Amino acid sequence: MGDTAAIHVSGLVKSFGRVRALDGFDLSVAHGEVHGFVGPNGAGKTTTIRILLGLLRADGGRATLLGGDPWRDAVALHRRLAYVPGDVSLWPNLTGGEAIDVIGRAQGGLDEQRRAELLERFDLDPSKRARSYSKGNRQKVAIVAGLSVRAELLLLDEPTSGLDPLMEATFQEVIRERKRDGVTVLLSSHILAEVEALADSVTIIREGRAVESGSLASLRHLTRTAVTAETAHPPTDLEGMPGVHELTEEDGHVSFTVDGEHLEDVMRYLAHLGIRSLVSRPPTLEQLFLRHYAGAEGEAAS
Amino acid sequence: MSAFAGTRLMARLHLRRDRIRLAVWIVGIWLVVVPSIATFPGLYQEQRAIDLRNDLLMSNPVGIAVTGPGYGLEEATPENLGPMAVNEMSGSTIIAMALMGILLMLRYTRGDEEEGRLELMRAGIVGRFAPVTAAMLVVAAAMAILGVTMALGLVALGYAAAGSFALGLSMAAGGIAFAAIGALAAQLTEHARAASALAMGAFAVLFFVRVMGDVRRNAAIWFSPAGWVQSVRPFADERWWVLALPLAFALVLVGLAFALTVRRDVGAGLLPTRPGRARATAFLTRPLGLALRLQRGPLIWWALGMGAFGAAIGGLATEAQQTMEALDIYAEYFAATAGGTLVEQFLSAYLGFIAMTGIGHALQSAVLIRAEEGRGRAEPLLAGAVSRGRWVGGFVLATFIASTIVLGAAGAGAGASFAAATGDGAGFLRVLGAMLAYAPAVWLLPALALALFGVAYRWLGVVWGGLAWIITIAMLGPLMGLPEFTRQWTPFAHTPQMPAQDFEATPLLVMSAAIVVMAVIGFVGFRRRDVDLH
Repeated sequence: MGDTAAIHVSGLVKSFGRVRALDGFDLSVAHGEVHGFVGPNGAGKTTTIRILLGLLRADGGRATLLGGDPWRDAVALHRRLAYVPGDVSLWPNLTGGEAIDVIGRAQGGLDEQRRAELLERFDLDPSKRARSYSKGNRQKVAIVAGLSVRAELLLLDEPTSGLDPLMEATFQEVIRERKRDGVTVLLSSHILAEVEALADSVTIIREGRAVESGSLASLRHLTRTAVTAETAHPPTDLEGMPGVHELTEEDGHVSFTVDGEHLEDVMRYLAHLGIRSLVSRPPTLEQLFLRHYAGAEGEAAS
Repeated sequence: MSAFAGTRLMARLHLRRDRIRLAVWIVGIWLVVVPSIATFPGLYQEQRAIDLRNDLLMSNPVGIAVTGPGYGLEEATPENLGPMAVNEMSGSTIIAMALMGILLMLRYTRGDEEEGRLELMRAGIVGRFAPVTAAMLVVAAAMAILGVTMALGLVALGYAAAGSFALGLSMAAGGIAFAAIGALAAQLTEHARAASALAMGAFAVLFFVRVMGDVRRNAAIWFSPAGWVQSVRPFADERWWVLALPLAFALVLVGLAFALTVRRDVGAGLLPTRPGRARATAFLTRPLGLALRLQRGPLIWWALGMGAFGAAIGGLATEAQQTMEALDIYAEYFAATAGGTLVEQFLSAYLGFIAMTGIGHALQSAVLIRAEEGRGRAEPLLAGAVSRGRWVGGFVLATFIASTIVLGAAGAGAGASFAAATGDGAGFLRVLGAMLAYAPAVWLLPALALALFGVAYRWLGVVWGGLAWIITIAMLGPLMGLPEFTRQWTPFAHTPQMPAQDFEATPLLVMSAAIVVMAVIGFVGFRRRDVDLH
């Protein structure tokens, strides 16, 4: 089973009444990788994760999780995974510590040492009643409970919503440690910096379909690098070069964006003119993301 | 910016958001009070019946505790039933209206603050005193509407206008006074639950003060809003000025609440919150332990209340005998089926009513599972290694355990006071057994709730309609002359009415079988459907 993916989803369909939440969605997560699952609210991220957890039954398509069927083999699979929801609602009259134990036990049993360590690192007081916790502290309860469990797969659904930047950094540290231990992670998020910092590969979901999927590096290749340069001789031929866009010139500086596949040609041309200064910004996930969604709006408008 | 700025805005918000909740409180209480009083002319056609009823209730502490001082009872005649209506209804009505006042008040003040809604308002144009003022205005308006419509209902039934309005307005004033206690409690604690426990506790103490004053016939009644309300003496030379006492009391408490809002931060309380356990017990981490823990508080109150209810009924049973022998109407009511002594028949009938109250508890417990699902608290558990069957099983088992405790407490209370009153020690077990024989009848509706949870959870509310039906048939069926066959459409018609009747296993087994079938439907249905989290 070593070569099969930890999560494999193809053609997944799920409707709620007339709303089609998932519309032929595909996803593949390899063993041992951190897979970013990116999309705006309502795109179908939570629905996908709930199907993977066997809480919802898919209307069509196939989903395989750790080699099993998420609906039929739910309990057996759940022993091998841990889950952190993004919008946690806790029992108001239980303390945070009690909630961690209840959830952790349900998720297959806590590692005592990890529990203590994570409470410390996330700076959470477990003796307070859950109803007095802020959103961020409720989120920490879910994180501590989920990450204290020894699991081979982590399903994280916008796990850091409500956390402050310090805690966000702690969270990223913990995920990196788990990754070193060989844990597979599906990280749903709309905080792109977080995904960029953690993920090996990414799937972008829009209106229930995967619009882009691959390693972060290969996706970057698809997008444009922004370049600002000053050359000894004016770069007059840039205008007509394939892959060059948004060309502007000001005080002898040219600025433009260039498609990944043509970057090499453009750089060779600039070098030939004699580069005096050069600033190049690699594409961010954010640009990639915005391009897909800006595109969607454009389609909708036309 | 004035401290009262935004009061109108907030009051309108409450009215808009809670128009249905407010209407349910008002209509619900009205529908219990007015139709009950409407049955009096039919029940008390003879002076003898009136005198015996009054003697029975006023001659013993339990009767006085559950009714009141009984002003003007000596002048009650079949033409002047007002004093009896007051005696019979005012004690229970003030409890209902106090609950209404306290719960609404806390919802609009501490509840809003805890949810963070108040912060949003206070950050806007809303002044410091506006939340309490708006809440008080809305609750007072609801109380006034209930009091006036109650009075109009009595006038329409032919009761004297002065007494009718004295009763309606005194109840409204009492409700306002207890709502003000809620307003003060809301300022003291950080959480609505703690505030409601504090306010309910204060109400219980004040109610007890009234009871002691009435039973001992002393001035204690003047130290309780519940006492003031009855001292207005509707239908017995009304003393209108007494109405000013609860209203002045409310004003003073609201003033105190204002003073406290100045001294504390938004979101904070004056009383500290205690830290709890940092670790869960092993039991709590099982579905059954969690389900029991979630209903622990209400369960304790239900068990205590039902135990007291049972004890009151058990103690009254022997005293009831003389009245029952004299009253044809009661004979008709109780002796639909012959068997047992009159005391036993009285007990049997009232154990049935206690059991119906117990359905209220069992349903409250049974619908908890849907709240756990809908509010998303089930999610991390079902996403874990807890199977759906185990999760549902924990909650179902918790409901049956809690319900057994509540029925057992009522049965033990009734049995103990019956045994003490009659000197018949074996009576304890007989009465307890009779109470527990109602368990299958009590569990039918919770089992229906479970079946609906599995296959049609959006219809879960139907079970409350079922409870209303059972109560209507039982209370009004014999008096309203409903056709005989409809009286069979309730599990209580098929439960052996012990101790008057003999034990009979067949109907209990049939009901148990129905419970098992519905439970299976619920389990299987939930395993096959989507978990609906929001």
